[in-house]
Amino acid sequence: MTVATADASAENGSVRISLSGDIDRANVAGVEEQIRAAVSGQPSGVSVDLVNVTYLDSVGKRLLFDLASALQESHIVLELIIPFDSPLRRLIELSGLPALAALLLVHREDTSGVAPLELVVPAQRWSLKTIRDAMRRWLLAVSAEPRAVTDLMIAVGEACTNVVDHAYGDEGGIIAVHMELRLPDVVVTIGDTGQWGLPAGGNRGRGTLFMRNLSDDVRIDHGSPGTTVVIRRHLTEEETR
Amino acid sequence: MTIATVETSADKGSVRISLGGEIDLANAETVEEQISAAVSGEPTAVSVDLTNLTYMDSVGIRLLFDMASDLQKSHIVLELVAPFETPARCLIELSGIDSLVTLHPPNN
Repeated sequence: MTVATADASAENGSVRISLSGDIDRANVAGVEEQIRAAVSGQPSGVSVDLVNVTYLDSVGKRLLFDLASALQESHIVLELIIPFDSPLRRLIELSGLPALAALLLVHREDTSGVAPLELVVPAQRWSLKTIRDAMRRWLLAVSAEPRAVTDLMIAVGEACTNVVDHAYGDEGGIIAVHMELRLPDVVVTIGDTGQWGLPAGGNRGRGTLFMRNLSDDVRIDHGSPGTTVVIRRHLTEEETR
Repeated sequence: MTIATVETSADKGSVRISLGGEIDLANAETVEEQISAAVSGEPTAVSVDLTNLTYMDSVGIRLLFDMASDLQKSHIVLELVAPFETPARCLIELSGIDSLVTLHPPNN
């Protein structure tokens, strides 16, 4: 008998489901049932933690695909938590799931005791909340002070909104967000593979103004293809400017 | 899913709208529709309370700018309530919208 467990917990309206063990044809129906029960209460966000999954094949992929598609209809971008360096990552990346789901890639803790945050999300507006939730959790874990949390959420939100609004055409694309501590700073890198310019005026101009005013340093590198934005902000309360 | 709450109350032609939760690109349009509905009855004064907004960015500020200029055409000055140290307050001051609206508490 194949054994898998699904544990669900809820926080602030978001549901987190931890799967572990082997998931295959023999037990996938049971796992699916447990997941369905966990997300039945109209959550505002859903994460599935696959870090302790030891085996997943095409039926498991199908399960995640169906879940991501169903959540998409409720304007929720499913977050999949997977180890940075696992075979599972490649399996999921090749499956086409990144067009539908956010991938939170878990790094091993480095010497400072805090692993960087690495998130790859579909470049669509419903991903913005998924990015904020992941950032909030990470910033809390590194004891960032409230003012720094707010400033970073807005600054990164502006950069990601730019990507959603301008980087890709109808075919869509991804946003990659990488956050790490370089004390006394938090450094966030937001990358895309599309193209966007920085409008001088109007609302996007205002977004860029906020991004610059709420950080200690912003660098924007227009490559081809893709744009990279690097935002730096002190971890402590002190105001920028 | 980005969730915002829009609560409205009216008292003798004066409309008060209280926003809560988060506003971003995903739900701004819905919030804007709810606000438009709240002010559609030719009010004599409009106040928007941003105290309980946990997240907003330039998309939300644009919404407020549009609202303030629309109301100005009816000779109404939009009143914004945004306590110090809230995300909304910080963006209001950076954006310069405080020259278009009445802000509470006022700037020092």
